[in-house]
Amino acid sequence: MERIGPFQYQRHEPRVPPCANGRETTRHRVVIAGGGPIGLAVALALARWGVASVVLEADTTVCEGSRAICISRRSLEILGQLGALEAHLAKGLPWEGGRTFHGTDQILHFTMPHDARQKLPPMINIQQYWIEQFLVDAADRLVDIRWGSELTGFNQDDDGVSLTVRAGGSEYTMQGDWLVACDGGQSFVRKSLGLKLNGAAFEGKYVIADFTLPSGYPAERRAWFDPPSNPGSTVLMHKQPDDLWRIDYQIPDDADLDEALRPENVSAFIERHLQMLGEAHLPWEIVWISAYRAGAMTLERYRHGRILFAGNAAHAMPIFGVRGLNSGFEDAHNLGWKLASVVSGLAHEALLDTYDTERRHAFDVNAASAIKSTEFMAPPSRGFSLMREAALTLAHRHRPIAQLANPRQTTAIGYPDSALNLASDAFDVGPAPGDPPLECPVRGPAGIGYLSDVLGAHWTVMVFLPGDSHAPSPGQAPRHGSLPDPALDLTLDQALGVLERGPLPLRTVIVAQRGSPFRSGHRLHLIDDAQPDGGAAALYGARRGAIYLLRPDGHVAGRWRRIDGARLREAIDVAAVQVQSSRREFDQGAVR
Amino acid sequence: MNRLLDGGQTGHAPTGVGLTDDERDALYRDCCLAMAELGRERESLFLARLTLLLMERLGDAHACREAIAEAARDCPLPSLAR
Repeated sequence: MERIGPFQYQRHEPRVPPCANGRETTRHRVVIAGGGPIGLAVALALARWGVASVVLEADTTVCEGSRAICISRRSLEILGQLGALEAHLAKGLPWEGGRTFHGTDQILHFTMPHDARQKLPPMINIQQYWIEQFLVDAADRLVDIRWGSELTGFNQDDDGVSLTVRAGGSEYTMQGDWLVACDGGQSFVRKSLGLKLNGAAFEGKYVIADFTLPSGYPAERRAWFDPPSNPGSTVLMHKQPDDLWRIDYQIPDDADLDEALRPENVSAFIERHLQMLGEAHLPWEIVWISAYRAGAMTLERYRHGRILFAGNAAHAMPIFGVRGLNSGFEDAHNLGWKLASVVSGLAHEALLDTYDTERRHAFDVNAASAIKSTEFMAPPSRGFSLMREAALTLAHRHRPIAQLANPRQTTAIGYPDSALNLASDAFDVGPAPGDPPLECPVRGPAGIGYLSDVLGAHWTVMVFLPGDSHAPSPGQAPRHGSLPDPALDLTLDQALGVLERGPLPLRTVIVAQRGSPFRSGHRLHLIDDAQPDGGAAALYGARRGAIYLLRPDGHVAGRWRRIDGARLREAIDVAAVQVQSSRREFDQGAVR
Repeated sequence: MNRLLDGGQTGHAPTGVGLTDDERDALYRDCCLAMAELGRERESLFLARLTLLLMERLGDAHACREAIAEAARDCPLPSLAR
């Protein structure tokens, strides 16, 4: 494949690094198997912490065909942290909901959670080859991507992993402290270790195809049950950038899949469906055909010694609700800061066991939603068929019943039982320990921005102040917080100063009600007046003096209604100790 | 305590009002007539639709789960209604 529409595939030649006796002379801290979106995201997440990595990619280009096309708000937030947001927003098509039809009658118009506080749309559609290309662009000079380099064998011991790589016509060995397996659904690393995915597999067979079509229909999810184009079955349709459309339809269980995938049969189907939509007069052309089966399956553990699994190598997710690629990005975001902390000596390697427990919990939550959607799309037995037909035939006059046809699109998943959650105070509202952060516009030194903009490769202490923020007068701007912060209680100010200079990378964000925003050393003063109908303090349920401690991935570690300097230092010391010596036996029991 | 086993005597409808014997008789007959009218081919779908509508109307997840379990419990192969 040379190009798809305006997308031009770039070929990259295999390259063999400097070797002595067939062995690469440099030892690496992290080697990533697989240069798909998850492998590249892990590499970029590590790079943000100054940790170099090598990505081994068997192909010489980014993926053929558009594959995963729906990027959730949470994934966009993560891409923002990885330095790849702008390109995705510029190219992608934002959308907020969709329509479900029974036959040709609309029975549901759903919208995904969205409000005026959000910086990002709930979802964008974009082809996976664009996603991978943007990540490759962001990785330029930060990550050693080795194209045409196939992992053919590996061994691990207590100190690291030895790998054998085939590049072009030659083979070499290399050493790494850690191996991250992001080598997809057919993971070589997983199979080599004799590991299997377990869970629920579904019978349904689906054809998936992309075709060009200059249709002005907006970007949204459309689903048909029992349409004239596919009687007794289902069709899904999505718009992608570059006038490309995705169609996805189920074929009968006893149908021959190879036969169904023949281009003339896919063409006949698309023709029939476009006739139903009144768009068959438009010129269209198939560019990609594939197939899939639905399964919600996972490894029992995502960490195996020095080897960590992420994305489809770790788990498979039914397509409905778009949790495949999106849960993979959340894996990468969770793993990135933890592996970087371990590699940099900031944390004990047991911290990586919390990656395992947290993301397996996320799998369970994702699988439960995806299975519900799959059972509605493809009823696994007569009971499911009958109840679905009852729902579909009542839906147009009974809105609550129509909700059964809601695809329940992916949302960010919290870790309520994580071993990293600190003993916290009870709040009426706001994100609890383990939850992802909430978004809100705020006024910063550079104008209106968002709370999520303050997150980065560090822990964040968010202090809510009811009163004014006073910028220091020009003559006495404090350097590195060496002068008392006029907005803060003195003991809190001193405690934060100690923490900011401590071993845990940490920044303080002060969210004041009024005054002027400014930055000083590790402190950023924001003003909570950008949202007329209740700002960040209301969203976080924060009264005078409330503090949230956010992990580097933005998830809440702890929150306190009012806390003095001594207690805050104590709490963050606990976080630091947990990070430095997370107890394995505790983690294993914590999440089920 | 299973409310359904008590013939509804100790149960609570959301409105706090149970059926009188006359009402129950009439509703029983309405169901029979609706199914007779629709015919055997639509019987199952009719009952599934009725179930969804009644669950929404009842608005009590616990009572619905009890009713589902009770309807399934010891459900025999039909010998009278074949």
